[in-house]
Amino acid sequence: MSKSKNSILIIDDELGWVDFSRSILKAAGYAVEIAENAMEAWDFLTKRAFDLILMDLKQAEKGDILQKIAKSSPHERRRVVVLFPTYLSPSKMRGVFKSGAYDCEDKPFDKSGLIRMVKEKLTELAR
Amino acid sequence: MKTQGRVLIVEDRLDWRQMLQGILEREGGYSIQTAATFDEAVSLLQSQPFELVIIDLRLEDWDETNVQGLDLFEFIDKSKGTNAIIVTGYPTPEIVKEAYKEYKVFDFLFKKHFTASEFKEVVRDAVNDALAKRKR
Repeated sequence: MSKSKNSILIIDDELGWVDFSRSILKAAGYAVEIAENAMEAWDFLTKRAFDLILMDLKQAEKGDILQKIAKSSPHERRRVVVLFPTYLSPSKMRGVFKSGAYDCEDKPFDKSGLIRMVKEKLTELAR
Repeated sequence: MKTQGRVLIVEDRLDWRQMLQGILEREGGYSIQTAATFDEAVSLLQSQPFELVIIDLRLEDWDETNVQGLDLFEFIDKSKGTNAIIVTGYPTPEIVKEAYKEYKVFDFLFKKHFTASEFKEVVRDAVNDALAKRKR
């Protein structure tokens, strides 16, 4: 566990996955906040910065939260990873990047996959 | 207001090369060069600056594994503000992701859903963005 915890904001309303990821990431030493919708997410983002933002595809497609983050803060834009639970078509992939995401990944449903993905993204972003 | 962008179109298929060139010529305000092969494109990229490079991914249409267009990024000087747009008939989610994340493309267009209006808008935005970066 690092001395200063990396902070992660999860934007997702799929409560099963939220509980799963929160408990695993907290146990791994990360500071985790949860937003179930765009309004809650925006509330967090106007108050503080996060090292990584994990956003479910549904949330990214539902409203303009991704565009809002990208426009308001180029710094935060670099930290949004959109997670998709099933196959993503090329045009949807394009839409996610055009909306301002840093990256797009399969949603991990296992402990080691989740921790590996988070570590990878944080390492990339620290470069 | 018309832009004054220098645009390179890299496309092996004559019909697409002529169509893309024709759309931009009718739009006006661009200085357009074309390349039909990887080598022609490299030669142009090494001899003059461009605001925008429009790249077909598969530069040898008979070869289904060809994504030679990506190799051109080695010759595009992003430090000078040059933008790139990919136009391809063979998109995969992996290639789209790689193009945006690793190659920092300005946009990625699919031939299957191609429209002249979207193409013109994307080119205009990409050229204006490149010109703005050069002024900084």
